[in-house]
Amino acid sequence: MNHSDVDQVHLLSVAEAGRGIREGSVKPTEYVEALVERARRLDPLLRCTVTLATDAAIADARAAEDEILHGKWRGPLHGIPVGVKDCIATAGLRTTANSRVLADWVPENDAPSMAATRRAGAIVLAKLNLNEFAWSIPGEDDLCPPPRNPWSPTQLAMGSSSGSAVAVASGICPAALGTDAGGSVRQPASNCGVAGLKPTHGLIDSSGAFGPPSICEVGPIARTVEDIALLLEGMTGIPGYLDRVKKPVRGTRVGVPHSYIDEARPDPEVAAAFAEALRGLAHLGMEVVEVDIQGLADAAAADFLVLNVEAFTAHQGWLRTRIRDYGPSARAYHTQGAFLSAADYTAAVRVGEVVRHRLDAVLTAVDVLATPVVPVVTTEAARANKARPHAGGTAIFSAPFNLTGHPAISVPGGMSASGIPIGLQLVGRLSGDADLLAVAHAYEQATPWHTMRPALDSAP
Amino acid sequence: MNALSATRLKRMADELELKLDEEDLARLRPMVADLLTVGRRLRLKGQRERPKPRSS
Repeated sequence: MNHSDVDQVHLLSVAEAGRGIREGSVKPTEYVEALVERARRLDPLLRCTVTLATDAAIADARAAEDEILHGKWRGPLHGIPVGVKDCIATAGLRTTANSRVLADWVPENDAPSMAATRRAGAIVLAKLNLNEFAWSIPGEDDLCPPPRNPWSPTQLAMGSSSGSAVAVASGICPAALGTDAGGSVRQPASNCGVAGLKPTHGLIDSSGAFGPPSICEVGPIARTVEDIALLLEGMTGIPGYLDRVKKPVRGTRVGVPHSYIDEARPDPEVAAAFAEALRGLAHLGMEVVEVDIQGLADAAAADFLVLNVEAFTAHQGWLRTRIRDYGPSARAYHTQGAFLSAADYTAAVRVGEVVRHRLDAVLTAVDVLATPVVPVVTTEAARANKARPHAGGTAIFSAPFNLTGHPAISVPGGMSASGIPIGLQLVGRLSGDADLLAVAHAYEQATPWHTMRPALDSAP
Repeated sequence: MNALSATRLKRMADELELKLDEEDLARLRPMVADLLTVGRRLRLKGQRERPKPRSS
């Protein structure tokens, strides 16, 4: 690819753009301007941005060019424009969480994950749309109406980091930050055909992002697993993820909790894509074995109980004084935890401890687990499930690992007959994020799904 | 367990100083009822199985 062709820069991965910037074939200012233009063209259709930070991004790109010119290259994220879920605080840039509660809030400080990403040289291009405070069913009356899926713009993208996944899938930015307390990075990544990582609990400081602190992680979304590794290095300040992403994976043992998956009765297209993904892993020389993990469904339910209690705890002040500034769905979602007892919360936390021990034991016999990401294909079907989220619903495969803290990634793993992507979830050992990325990378590179792009360039 | 009545939910909301209107309460009632059922189920399970002590 000719890096100087501004019509094509939106196709660059973070790694490709980073190399181009270092070599001088990609200029950050031109890169940012091209993506701003793309966002302006596509966002009326996709509705994935809350705030496009045009002036600040161009100024930051100019500063990056100047630093690099003077030999102060910070690393592969230097000069890379990224999108940021609008619940993650950005200093000097409006952060609304898509709520009228924060409609005009301009934080003084970056959230720690944001500060680390900026220190690595990344540029904030846009604040991205989400379900209100990342915990509600979105609606047309929200401060910003919900993002549409670039693969099928008549449908909404799954949330809550919907804007982040849509922006990356549509080439508005090469990578984005999201948050995940029950699957909110992995589900939209799956639904939009990109990769999304929920890192090990605590690996990234998730404060400043309005997430329930016991179970929420800030995580990267990108078009390749290599880019996820680069983002993880930037967001943690810990080098080495990129070096290890290409390590050999032949002989890796992949555990599949078949009975748990079957009990969730995934859509036949999801089940077929998952079966094909397992064959793909075996074809790479991995050993795919059945595992039995009791309590995963309880862990999904318990995760939502913890989420509800911690959401109310965090929002109770505003709920008492500004409840009408919440949309109807967010008002209910953030209030429901108020009616639970300390004993309920403690029981849910204990479920997490029990299932975490079981998972750790299983993950001594196998290296990773594999499951689908979402049991359904479309947002409409997801909404039908989410109407009763406390049994796990759409998050039945993703939420258990928020409660236990294990790292989990969604990678593109198939395509439905209607042209909506289907993801594969891989789950690693606690603090085994690098090994997890290596397995995900090997699978990704052996399959065509990550190379597919939505047909947006004929969009008006 | 008694079903969660609208009156009980309203009283609990008032005690928490949450100014919820009738529409809010109608939306909330099945959600809270579900959550309370989940909480009760997890509490009963918790009485049957104890987590292992922390290793460190």
